[in-house]
Amino acid sequence: MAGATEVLVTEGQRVASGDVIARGEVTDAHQLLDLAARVGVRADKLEPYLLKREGDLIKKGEAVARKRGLLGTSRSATAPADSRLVLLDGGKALLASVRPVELRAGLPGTVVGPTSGGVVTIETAGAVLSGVWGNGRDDFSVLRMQTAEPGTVLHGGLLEASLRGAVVAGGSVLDAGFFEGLAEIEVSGLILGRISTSLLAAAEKAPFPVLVVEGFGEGGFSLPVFALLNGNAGREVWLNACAWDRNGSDRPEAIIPLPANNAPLLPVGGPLVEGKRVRILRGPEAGRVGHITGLSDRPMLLPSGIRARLAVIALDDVPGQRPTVSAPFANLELLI
Amino acid sequence: MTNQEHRAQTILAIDFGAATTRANLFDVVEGVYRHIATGEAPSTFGAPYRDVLEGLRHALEDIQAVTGRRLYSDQNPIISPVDPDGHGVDLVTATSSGGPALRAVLVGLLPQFSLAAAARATEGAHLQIVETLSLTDGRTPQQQLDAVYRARPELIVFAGGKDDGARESVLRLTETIGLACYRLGGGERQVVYAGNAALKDKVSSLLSTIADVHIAPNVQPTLGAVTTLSAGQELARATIAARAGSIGGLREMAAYSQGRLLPTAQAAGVLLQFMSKGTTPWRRILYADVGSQSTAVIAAIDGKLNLRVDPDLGVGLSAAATLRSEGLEAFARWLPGEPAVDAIRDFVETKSRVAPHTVPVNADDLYAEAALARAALRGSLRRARGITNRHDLIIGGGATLANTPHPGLAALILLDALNPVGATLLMLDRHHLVPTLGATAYFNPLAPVQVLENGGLLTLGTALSLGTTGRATSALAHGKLTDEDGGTVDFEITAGVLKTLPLSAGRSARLTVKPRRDVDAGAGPGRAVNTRVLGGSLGVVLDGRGRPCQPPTDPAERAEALQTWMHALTEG
Repeated sequence: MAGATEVLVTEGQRVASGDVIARGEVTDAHQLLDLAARVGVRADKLEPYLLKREGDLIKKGEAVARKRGLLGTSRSATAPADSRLVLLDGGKALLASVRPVELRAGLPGTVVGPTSGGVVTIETAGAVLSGVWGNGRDDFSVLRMQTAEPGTVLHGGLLEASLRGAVVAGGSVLDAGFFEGLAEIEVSGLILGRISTSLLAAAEKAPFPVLVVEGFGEGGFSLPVFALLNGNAGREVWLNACAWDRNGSDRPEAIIPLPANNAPLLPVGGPLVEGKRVRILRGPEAGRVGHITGLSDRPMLLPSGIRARLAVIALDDVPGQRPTVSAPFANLELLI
Repeated sequence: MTNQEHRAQTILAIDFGAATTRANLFDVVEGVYRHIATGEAPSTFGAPYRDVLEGLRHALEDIQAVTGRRLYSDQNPIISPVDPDGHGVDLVTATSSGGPALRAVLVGLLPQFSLAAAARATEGAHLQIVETLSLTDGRTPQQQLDAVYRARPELIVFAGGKDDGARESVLRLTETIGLACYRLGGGERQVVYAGNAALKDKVSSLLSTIADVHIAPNVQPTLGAVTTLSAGQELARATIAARAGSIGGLREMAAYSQGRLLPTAQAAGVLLQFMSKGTTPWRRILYADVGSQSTAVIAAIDGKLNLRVDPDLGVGLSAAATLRSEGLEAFARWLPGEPAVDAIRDFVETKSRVAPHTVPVNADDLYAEAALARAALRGSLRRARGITNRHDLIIGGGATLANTPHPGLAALILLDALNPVGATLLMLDRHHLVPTLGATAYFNPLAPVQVLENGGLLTLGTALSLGTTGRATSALAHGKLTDEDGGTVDFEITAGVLKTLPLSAGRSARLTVKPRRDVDAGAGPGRAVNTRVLGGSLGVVLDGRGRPCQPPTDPAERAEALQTWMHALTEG
């Protein structure tokens, strides 16, 4: 939050998802008042006539400076709107129209680390599901699996009143009308495996968070993602469907808080080695998940004619089978 | 230049790209600078690292594995100068084009004069213009202040007034800029002032307590005269200063490279300017670099530079933005068959958001990658002003071109996207040497010259491209290629046909061409051409497909044409 921010929590404090952790204000517009000209003095002679100081909140019509004349007359410079005086300089005042905002925790957890500098870090134990697309909204509610299979396509026939307030999960969506249906029911969010790019505009307009986990086009959840969601149906999930900023730290995700078990933090990233679990990002096997069983030590020829080092992957998303495929290192995403 | 820089023998030149961090090692071998090795690794601008030094370490590991020379230690990201054990390098240079485009606001007095000049000066920088202000934009100073505040720029480029011209108007805009910087607070906001020179001290004193102010020569010193080059150099410094504040490791790299951490395109421009000034046989040079996030086209003619960077055109991170900018047709026309519109959009969105740094795995995938490269290059060239289609030399750069399975595909993409007319030598910069040598040229002008003379760039060959828009099927031109030994080959160029004649790398030949009356072979319609050409890995390419090159619209005909053209340059 820009401007003055008041952090309301302290290190070690437990917070619930709806708790307000900070208050501040945002600026909507500015007004520059030439105080000296309005009260009729030189800029360097204004000081005795000032009624307000930097940081003061001023009501609409309230005087910022006033010079009294003879016979009870006066010349005033008044605020054109409720605002905060943010700068006094050179006989002028800069006023900012501000409104208060509150920041909620978003998920249950414990405040860790110092809260100085306007930064609050909340730690929670749970499962994290990283996505690839979000519509910029977030919410926290109970997860409802509206799909029996990873690839189930959600359609109007599956809408029911009992979904009100829930975060709904499904493989993909049939048409834009489904988002309107969910909005009417007032769901708290939607998690999809895949989405057609033709439906992105409708998803963007949805009044609830929409998180896409796997990618774009036909298909649904990969088996491991489906298993994760299915295994946590009925639990609360925080859906942070922000836009993915590859250069920053924002990535759309779902966090499912779980009872703390003091398990060590899982490592993030690391080198590609045998046994690592990966998702294939490109080619005929795109979206499939498996474990690395071998790595080429020199570049191999791909059907495209490009030479690249390859990983052999035993796919584990086909129940009862372990077919193997190969994919270039560059086309793999490392999973935890 | 210090004595140490001038004596430097071992040079490490690093480029931090959006997708890839590359390190090139140059050393003196038998008295001449040569390119020794290249190391590459995924760039680490983004999460979880957010520190470019992590990617650099992996790139240096590649070079260490090849050369056995230790380049970094636990204490130092780079060992420099060379230590007593002979490890490390004498000189480090660095360039960067990765990370998000800087959010920039342009400010000028009048849209058609100083604001236009400011826009021109920023064409070579990796910027996202989020707001523009002028005296005539119809807004009050308060509304302008609100606009800049909401735009939250990292950089403000302020051009205004000719030298000794408008004074009050410039100061009024200075106040608006100053108030916006004050309200935005924090950080190291960069302001580049390139306006009325008589006010530079005043503007600097008003803004320097709330922003990092860079004073550049006026982009419009007199009415109608636009001089953006010097402002561009100051802009480059401001850009890097802003990046160094937000991207881990760049400050250290700036220190290693004696404060000259250059934007990649600027560094490439330095080398091209140098090459076109008479140090090489080529006076009209075009460099085309298509990357994951951005595309640059840089023309250098007799030392005069025309530099354009488009941060929203690219084959990876910017693939979706490229499609939005150039349209579906600009991409689909280079695909065989008739893919569904939704399938194209799904592919491009996936490439952009999920898999920007992946490689094509099959033939269809390769066609799609090449189609994106063509769309990005064509888009950048279309946006650039004043770049013609007459070039002595075209150099292709960027990972898509450098990593094509056959250099013929890189040549095909360059010809299709840039549409040159006449005899043009084609080269490929497989190791990103153009920007890295450009950065090196500041410290050691000898190194770039010697590295280029010793085959630093891959010579693809000379392309003779005929300018015609007709759909005629008859012969467009007849000609003869006479090699150094007197051997001759007579040829005919027919409409729609692309073919090659053998001429090895390092060999030259005399090319004579007599085009049809309505066909331009480089000297004007119907005029004969007689010129010396160089061979290369493709020999001499004869291109009769017309300009601009347009594949057939019928899906079956298009599939056949694209395959035939691909085979012509890759099956030799």
